[in-house]
Amino acid sequence: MGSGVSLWEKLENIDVRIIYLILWIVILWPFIYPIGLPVSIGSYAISYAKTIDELPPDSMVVVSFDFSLGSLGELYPIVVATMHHLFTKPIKIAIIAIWVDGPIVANMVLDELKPEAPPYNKKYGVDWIFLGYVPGGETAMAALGKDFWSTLPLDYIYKKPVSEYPIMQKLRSAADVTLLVSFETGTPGADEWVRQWYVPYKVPMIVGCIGVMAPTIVPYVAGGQVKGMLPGLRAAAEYELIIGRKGLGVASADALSTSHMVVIIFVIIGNISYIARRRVK
Amino acid sequence: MSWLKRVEIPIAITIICALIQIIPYFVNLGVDVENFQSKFVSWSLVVGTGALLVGAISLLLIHVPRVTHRRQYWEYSLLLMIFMFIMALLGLPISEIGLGLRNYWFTFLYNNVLTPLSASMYGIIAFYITSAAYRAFKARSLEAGLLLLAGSILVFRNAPLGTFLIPASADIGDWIFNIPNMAVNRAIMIGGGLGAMILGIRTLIGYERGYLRGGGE
Repeated sequence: MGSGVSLWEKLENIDVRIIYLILWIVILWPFIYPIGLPVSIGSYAISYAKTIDELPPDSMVVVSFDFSLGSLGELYPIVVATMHHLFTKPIKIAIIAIWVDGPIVANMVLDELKPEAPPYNKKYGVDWIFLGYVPGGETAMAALGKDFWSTLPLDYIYKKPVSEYPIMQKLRSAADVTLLVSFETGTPGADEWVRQWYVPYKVPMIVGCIGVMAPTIVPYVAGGQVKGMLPGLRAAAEYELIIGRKGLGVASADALSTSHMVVIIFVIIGNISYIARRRVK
Repeated sequence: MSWLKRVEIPIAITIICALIQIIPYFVNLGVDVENFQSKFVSWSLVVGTGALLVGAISLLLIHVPRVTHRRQYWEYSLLLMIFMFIMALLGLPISEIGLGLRNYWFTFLYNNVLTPLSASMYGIIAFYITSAAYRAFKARSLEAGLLLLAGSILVFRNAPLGTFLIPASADIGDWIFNIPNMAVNRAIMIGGGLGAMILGIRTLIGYERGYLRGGGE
């Protein structure tokens, strides 16, 4: 009996370094040797993609980069896939950032996709524009909603007055926006956009966010303010499959599976040893 | 000039600024009032940007004494200040001498120091979560057991392998996510909204004075 107690105690107190090492291996392994597990597609990814697919030609879409560099691993696949999807549509795209790191990430995506080159062939200032960072959080959202030209008088790339660009002739306030796309990790984010853009101007939005934010955004999905949501890496993989462009999301899906299973296995070990030890006592 | 220190002045400014924002939201008072309201929003952006300078000064007030008195971990404080000054200097909008956001070294440090460090910090959470789940996620009571069950189903739902092994975990996970989770989050949102309204009203009528030098009523 004594040895039994010792075993349960050992199982309940596994060295944290062993846990870290196992997790490290199961995350890295699928990147080196992909397993290719099937990814079933959920309703959130379908409605997210459908919202973009159903945009009428010449729609004005504002894309806001509202996240810090820390969440790049989880959000970048969503950002790349969404921007690719948007650039393939005959729509107008204005890129802004409410978070200070936003322009850096936007630059990374634009460098990767190159919207002016094939297959997109989008012309800067006509089909898309990069307006840069607006400080002020929710106040900035309100200011943009009222007047783009005075809140962001110069574009981010060429530092020219926005009034000189043809695309900006169709974008004076939030009332001109057909869809808002927000990539976000926290506050200011969906809550603030809904308050400042949906309530007064009825601008619908879709949200790409980190997984932990999803529970707070889902009430807006049910309420109709948010038309689609991509929460985390799994949703990114689903979305990549829908639009037919496999990228980082699909590549990370196996690692996501193995790491989640390790969590489950350790939770089971922890509980079995806890219950067994209580019974022995 | 002692009247300048009277507490009624900032309260009056707060009330006037708040009313300028609130009244035109509910009542159409014409273009002039709307323009004036927009100007106020722009002013607040400028004030908010100015607060960054206050933040930098505050940071120095904390870290300079730490370095000069060689307190514990003073080396980190020194590193922080060195990089703060380097980034601020490189990012100065003087393109004539090569400075600014497009400066090579500014971009290099941002992309190759800050970006990987931030991503690493976030990535490390996965290790802590696994360890914490193993140690703390235990069925110690009925409530903890229910939480454990719901959490495990959602973990299964979030992993492609989970829904592959147990297809029902997708539907059950969606139900947990869309029904109980949403109900609770709505309750929190409504509670938070009511709280914000009450705080706003208390501030408007001058009862809430926490923002004045951190003082109470």
